[in-house]
Amino acid sequence: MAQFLAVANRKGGVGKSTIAVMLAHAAALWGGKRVLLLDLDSQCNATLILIGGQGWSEARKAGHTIADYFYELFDGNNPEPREYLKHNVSDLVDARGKKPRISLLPGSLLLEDVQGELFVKQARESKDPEIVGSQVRGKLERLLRRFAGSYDLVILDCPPGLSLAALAALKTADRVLVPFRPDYVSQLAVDRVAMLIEGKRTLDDVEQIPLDQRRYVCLANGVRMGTRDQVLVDEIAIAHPILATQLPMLDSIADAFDWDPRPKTIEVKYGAAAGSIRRLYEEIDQSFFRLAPAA
Amino acid sequence: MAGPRQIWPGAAMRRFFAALLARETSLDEAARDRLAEALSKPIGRLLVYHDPSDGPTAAAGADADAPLPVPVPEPVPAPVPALVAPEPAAEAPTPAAFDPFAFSVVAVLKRSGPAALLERLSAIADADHLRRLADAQHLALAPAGGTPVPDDLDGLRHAIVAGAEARLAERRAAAS
Repeated sequence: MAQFLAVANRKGGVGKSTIAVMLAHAAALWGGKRVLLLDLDSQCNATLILIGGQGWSEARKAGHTIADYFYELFDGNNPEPREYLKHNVSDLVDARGKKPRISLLPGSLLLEDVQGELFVKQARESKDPEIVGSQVRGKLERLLRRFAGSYDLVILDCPPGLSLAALAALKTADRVLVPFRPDYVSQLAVDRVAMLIEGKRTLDDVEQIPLDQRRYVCLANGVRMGTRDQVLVDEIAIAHPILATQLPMLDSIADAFDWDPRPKTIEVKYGAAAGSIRRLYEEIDQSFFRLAPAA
Repeated sequence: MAGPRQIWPGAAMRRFFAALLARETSLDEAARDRLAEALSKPIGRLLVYHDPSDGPTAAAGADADAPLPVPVPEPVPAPVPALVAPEPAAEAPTPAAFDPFAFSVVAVLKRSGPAALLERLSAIADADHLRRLADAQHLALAPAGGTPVPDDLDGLRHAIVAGAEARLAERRAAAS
């Protein structure tokens, strides 16, 4: 049965999409997993990284994006989820030249419109916005679960902010990975998303939950050498579980996400960062995937 | 100012591999060049760029038989322990090399309490260092419009504790 991993943070620009793609690569190539990535962010960065601009354009023209799928469903049709997926995506190959088993539900700029229209439709049945929102979110959760199919791992690349899709992803996920940049404004974003994930009203309530029983873990991303960033990471760690692996600020990570169709190994693609990504994957594999989903 | 340059430039690397293959194998020149190119590309991406401010290194275009420069491993930040409350950070550095980020004041306060934080701060015996620590970690030493910043060591340490408590209170207020 598929495990659902959401990569989420209310704050934008922390590296959610790039980390979602890195983990998809790592899980497929090093972990041998069948991976599905659902691009829930209307910025569609994960889609662009995995299939490039032309690939994304073809998916949109063919009506095979996440927004198209939701539209079909909410119009009362019963689309087959697999028809919307692109298989064997990414520019990676293993040592034998074989492509990793990564599938993608391409993102769409229209995903936010879909949520708005669904909200309006649902509002015909109830005038209470909280009830309407809850029902829309519930429908989205059930739809996301439809993609479990024959995958080992489903990665949900979440949008920033608090859209219904983001909330549905947080509810659906077995585990949530919260990337953050070591800066002062990240503290609020991480505190708030932790409260959402654990369903608590205050940070104090979240802190009552033992670290090893929380549904999420934080990942320091873009960490510079020196002690300054470690102080900021430690200030996050006083309230939240944090992975021991940190992703350093490296040009090779930024360069890896420029779409290039020429096949290459994961070590060539990520260059100097490949070691960090391997450690990240192994730590998540040990501490997340091998545990039973949190209650 | 010149930007960083690769320790072992691609051309020198390819010549090295081509020469090595010529000595050790019976491959023809075209095959040696293909292999040298295929080896150089991924290795070139793995080597860290050298910062010239660290001093001179092997010049570009070095003799193919020259010993390999030692690749500098990509600097990786020290890991933070996961899923358990970390131990307090190491002792503050000596006054000769004071590091205002040697430990997180807020983290020590939260995990160990104000008394433990005061004890850590007592290892810093220079008022300027205490002020630098507070400034670097954004800890207000005097409440807005309140009493002046103390200039004695004990006063500064207590002010740092109060500043850290204020930061924690701010964080809780923002999350509420």
